[in-house]
Amino acid sequence: MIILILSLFDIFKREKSLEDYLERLRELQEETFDILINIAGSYFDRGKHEDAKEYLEKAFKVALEMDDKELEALVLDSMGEVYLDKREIGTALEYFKEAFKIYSSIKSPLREEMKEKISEVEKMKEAIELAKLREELEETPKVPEVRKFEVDVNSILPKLKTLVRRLENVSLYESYPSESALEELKEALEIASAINDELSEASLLLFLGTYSFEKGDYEGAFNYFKHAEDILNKRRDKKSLGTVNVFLAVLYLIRGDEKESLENFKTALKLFKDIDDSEASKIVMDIFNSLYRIKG
Amino acid sequence: MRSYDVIGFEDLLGDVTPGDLILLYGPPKVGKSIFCYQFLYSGLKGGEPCLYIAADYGSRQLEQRMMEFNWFLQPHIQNGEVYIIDLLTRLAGIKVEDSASVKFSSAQNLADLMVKVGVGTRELFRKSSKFRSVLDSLTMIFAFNPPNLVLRLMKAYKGRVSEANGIGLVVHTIGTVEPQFESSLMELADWKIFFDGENIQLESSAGERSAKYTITGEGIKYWGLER
Repeated sequence: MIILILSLFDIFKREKSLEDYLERLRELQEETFDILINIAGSYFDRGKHEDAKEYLEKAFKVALEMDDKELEALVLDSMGEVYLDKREIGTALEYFKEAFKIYSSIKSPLREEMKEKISEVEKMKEAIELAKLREELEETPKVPEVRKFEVDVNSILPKLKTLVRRLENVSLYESYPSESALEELKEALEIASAINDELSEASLLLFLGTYSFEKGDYEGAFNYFKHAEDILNKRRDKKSLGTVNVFLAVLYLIRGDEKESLENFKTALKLFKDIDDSEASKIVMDIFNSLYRIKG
Repeated sequence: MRSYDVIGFEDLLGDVTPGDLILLYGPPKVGKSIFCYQFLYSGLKGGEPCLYIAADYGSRQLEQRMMEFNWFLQPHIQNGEVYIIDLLTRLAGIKVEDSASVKFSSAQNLADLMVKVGVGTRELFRKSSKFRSVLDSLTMIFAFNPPNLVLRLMKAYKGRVSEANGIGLVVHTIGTVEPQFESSLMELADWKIFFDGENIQLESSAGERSAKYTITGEGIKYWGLER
């Protein structure tokens, strides 16, 4: 009893204000946060991702409790690092983007650093996806017996059209949408062929091939693209040729010829790589993944 | 002045605008979740995609429960018009993988939940200039986290939904948390909707209105609007 009274007296004697206690609470929270982050870091160093994530989640709650946005962003950034280490790049990017959003909202100088990190990781993601695709393409001999393909033209058509739109010479003809204008274009093709204007001829073949493809006339489209391929091979126009190869890859698949389809995908990818056109490579990869149902 | 006409669901919500957060509250088993399904489905029919956080049931159960009212969710999930964050299935020990439209998280992992909400709102914002978001309900989240953290989470959630021009609906069962936290939740909401099994009361800074409701095989029917 005496001890209790003495300890109570001791509390009053210290005369700590509410502000002191709040300050002490804040210090304890900061300490807790540091400890949790350090534990998570130690687990991370040992490759124990799940444990690291568990402690980061705890740290996130402390950051929320402290209402400290910078610390919240720090946890999300660290969580992104854990996913990155697990090679779950997509999820890592989601965490980095969320951290970036918070850093931006509080105008933190770390915002720029995070922006750069996101850009680096996006490049990394792209490179890994390309490597995966190449690996898939290398393994083609084993593929046909075990895979089942389904050509969902509607799902890939917008991407194919994006590739065509990137070709300046071909996109010129997009303003000719009607059936009657189509006859004019066919006439123009005959003239271009007669006067040996290969550039116009190839562009018109590519446009008419795309038009036929869109209308579901796959035989017609195939003939236009094969003809365009011959001309473009001579002209060494890698960008247009790559686009033609992608269409041919899809058309071969529609015809049930997987081997030729994969060859054309490979060629397209190589051509776009030669001209350092990563955007086109990505579109090819998306089309390939849609057709072959490879998990992202 | 009470009118005895039947009121359409969207008319009932009439002046709720994008950026608003609605708190739907009431005792258990009075139709709060059915209101959520109706809010989701009505939005989809009007071309508004939806972010749905299922905290008290899994995404499969959500589909099944909605089917009871002839509201079929699957085509909308396939079209990417619904982005579901399922907080229960993994907690129940079922092994599941995320898909493009259904993501699995848990009520304990608030960082993961917030990131998924961020991704979901961004995805839907890209699809449509306005969308809806539902969180049904806070009960599990309160059960796993200190109430003040849940309030902070709600503030962040409101911010995410609002900046993406969405309308947020959050469900709370009264009595599952201390009264002072319930009051803070109320303060956070732009609209408060109270369900008691027979009456629905809507309250915002603009005023109040109430109506009667009945749960039918076609969802909830509202009638007898009083302003």
